[in-house]
Amino acid sequence: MLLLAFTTFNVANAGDDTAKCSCFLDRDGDGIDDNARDLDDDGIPDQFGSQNDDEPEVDLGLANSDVFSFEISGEFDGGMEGAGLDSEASRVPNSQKFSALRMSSRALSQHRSGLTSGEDFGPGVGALSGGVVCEGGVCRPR
Amino acid sequence: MNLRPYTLITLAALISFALGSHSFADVSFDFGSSHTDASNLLNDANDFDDAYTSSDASLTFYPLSSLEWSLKGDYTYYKDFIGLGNYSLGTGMTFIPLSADSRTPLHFSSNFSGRLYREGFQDFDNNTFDISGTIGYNLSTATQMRGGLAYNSTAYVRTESSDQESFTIFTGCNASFLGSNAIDIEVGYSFASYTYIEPIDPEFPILDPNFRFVKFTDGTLKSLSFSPRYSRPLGSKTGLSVLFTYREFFDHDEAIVLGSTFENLSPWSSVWQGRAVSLNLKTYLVPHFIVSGGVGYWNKSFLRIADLDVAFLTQVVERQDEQTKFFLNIQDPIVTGAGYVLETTLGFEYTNNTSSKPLYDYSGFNLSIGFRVRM
Repeated sequence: MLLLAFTTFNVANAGDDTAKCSCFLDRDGDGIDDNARDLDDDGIPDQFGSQNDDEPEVDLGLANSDVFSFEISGEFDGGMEGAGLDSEASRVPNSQKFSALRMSSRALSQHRSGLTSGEDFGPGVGALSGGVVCEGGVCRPR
Repeated sequence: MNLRPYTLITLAALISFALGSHSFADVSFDFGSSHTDASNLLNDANDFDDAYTSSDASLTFYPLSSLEWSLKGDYTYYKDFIGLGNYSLGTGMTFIPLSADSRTPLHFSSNFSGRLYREGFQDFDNNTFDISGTIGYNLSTATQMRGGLAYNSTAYVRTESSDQESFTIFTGCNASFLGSNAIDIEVGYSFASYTYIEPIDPEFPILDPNFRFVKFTDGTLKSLSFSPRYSRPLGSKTGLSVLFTYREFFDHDEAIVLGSTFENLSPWSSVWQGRAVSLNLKTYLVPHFIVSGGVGYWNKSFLRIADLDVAFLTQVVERQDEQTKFFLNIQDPIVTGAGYVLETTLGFEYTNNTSSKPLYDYSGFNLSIGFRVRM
């Protein structure tokens, strides 16, 4: 039901897009331009020495459609092309499209309010996300 | 273990999987393991050093290009504090139904996990459930407003008195200005149910003949937080970020929570109000490496804490801490020909804490090395 509701909402908002920004954007607050491309998803923008510099750019279709997420009819390829995507984009696996979506919605996923705000600090990134943080005698998973 | 959140998340994922079964659904796998030497594991004046190894794995499904569903687990082993070892199993979903270019982007996520500890620490066994929803509104290509709701709960399996439940409403704005400058401001209001002691005489909380408090009260801890952040590039390969956080509690003056000298240490003893400021740098100057580091300062006031002194008399103390932290993190991701990402990470973290309560005058460091593979 929830998914259907959002589908309806999505269709209702189709064509409501804002223009794609070529200006500096920093939604995750690391000081690096969010527009920097990272095709191999290694965390290093391609322009800063990605190991896949020579790979051709694959258009995920993100700039052309806001409805690529819903292939509820089950006709995935046809639906994508109807949304303005070419056949190359339709062959891109969902994980890559989702990765691009997640990158672009970082400001929405990282709220800083609540009783633990101000505690996200330190090397708990990359491979070091396990273990615990102890504070005031109370330990909790990192 | 309450299985209802598991059931709901799994059911929603199965429905969405069925709906998207004709699309290019795929699966990813992630495994990581790290080892940490901690000079002060518990972050207090006892200075217990220990080493722990933590491993985690997750299997993630993408039935739709807008939906991620994960099954995940982790295990942590402690060399000396063996009882603190624990493992967890959980599931989570993230749903991003609209394109980033939409006028009103949406983001929903939920997670549920159960965590079990080894013998001696089983009072810490808990289930956590988090869910949040955020809507954005793009005022222009460089300015985005957002607002959202978040619910977090931690239910302890054996001791209900420590359960935590909080609800947060927040709103914020992210904007770029004057070229490569970005500012992000967020304001949030939280309220949480908690259990505290309400003494008749604040200096002498009521104890029963077994030295247990008899005046536990259920209350609501309300807090307001404000957090502006400024960020910009420094040169072509380095980013700078400065984050300020302010949080204040309301209507909590009489509340007392149990400290570490009692059997049931209150999880609310570590909740604080006050200010924090941190400066972070992230750079790609070293080819193929991600180097990040930061320094932070916290000025914290805690809820009043009841503890036993050396004569086993109850004392209620006002705890005020000043804390500084420094960290350096070096990541080396390698992409294989098959598209797998292998990442080695080296991390160092130093903490210095001065407190009005001598138990929390401490300093310590963590040195960690980790490995992660994503495929």
